[in-house]
Amino acid sequence: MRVKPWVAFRTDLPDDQVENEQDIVVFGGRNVAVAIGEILARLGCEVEEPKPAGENGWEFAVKYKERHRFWCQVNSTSHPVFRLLFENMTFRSRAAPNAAAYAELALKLDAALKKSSLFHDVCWWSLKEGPPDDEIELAEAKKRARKDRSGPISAAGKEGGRPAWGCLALALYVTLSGVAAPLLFFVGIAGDTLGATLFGSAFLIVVGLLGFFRALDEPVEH
Amino acid sequence: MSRSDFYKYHYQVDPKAGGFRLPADLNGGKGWRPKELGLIKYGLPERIWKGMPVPLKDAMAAVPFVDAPRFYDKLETSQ
Repeated sequence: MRVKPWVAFRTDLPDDQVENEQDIVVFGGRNVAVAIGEILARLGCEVEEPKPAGENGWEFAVKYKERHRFWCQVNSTSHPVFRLLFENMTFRSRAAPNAAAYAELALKLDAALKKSSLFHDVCWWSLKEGPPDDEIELAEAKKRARKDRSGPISAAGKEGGRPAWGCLALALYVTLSGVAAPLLFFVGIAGDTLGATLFGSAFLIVVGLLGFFRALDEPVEH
Repeated sequence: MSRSDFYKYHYQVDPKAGGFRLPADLNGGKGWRPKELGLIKYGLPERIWKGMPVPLKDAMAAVPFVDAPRFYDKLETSQ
């Protein structure tokens, strides 16, 4: 399952941006971030206070079931349309249990946002698509929405994607180099000392295997 | 760097950046919209290069010119 990290919506909350005569003093969206934080808290998350992130709006960290960490950023181009970037920050985020927790919380958040009277036209977008900027774009997107648009889970998930072949080939090359290095040392073709060869070999194998997992965990979208 | 130039730069180097807020009296309250300007995000190599701070670029450029053996000799003699 692949979760779309962007959520776009319209809100009934007032615009809380603070401006002086020349510039923006406080970017708008704190009230939206607080409202989303309260929703996440009701879903069983530990939610931090929103912090200002300059032109990126407001951001806060979320902890779910003790060990799953998420990061939320709320920003906007123009009130009342807002975007929430909801990302999985758990270590090895693509590992099955972590990805499942991400999908579970995203589905719960989706249902809670759609149920809330403060938020309307809730749509989820992949990183590649990016979210809409204003009400017109949001309404148009909603009109031509495919069946999977309104939910957080992408139809072109792991099954619909393809492995990152370039990354896979590089990982294979690095891993095989790591395996070949000690063999070449014992045959007498390469390497200065056994210690250095084994250290280099272990390093290459670890890097190569990490690359393998990364390439297989992160299928490229069509 | 003007706000407009900074927003352009931020939008192009940050894969997760979209449009940004502007003061309400600018652009009819619609905010700063990259799509209106026809801006396209950089690809990965350009993003890394253009997003890198100048001092880091300087340090990378200096690496080939560092006389490493002499540097380590100096380090050892100073110890």
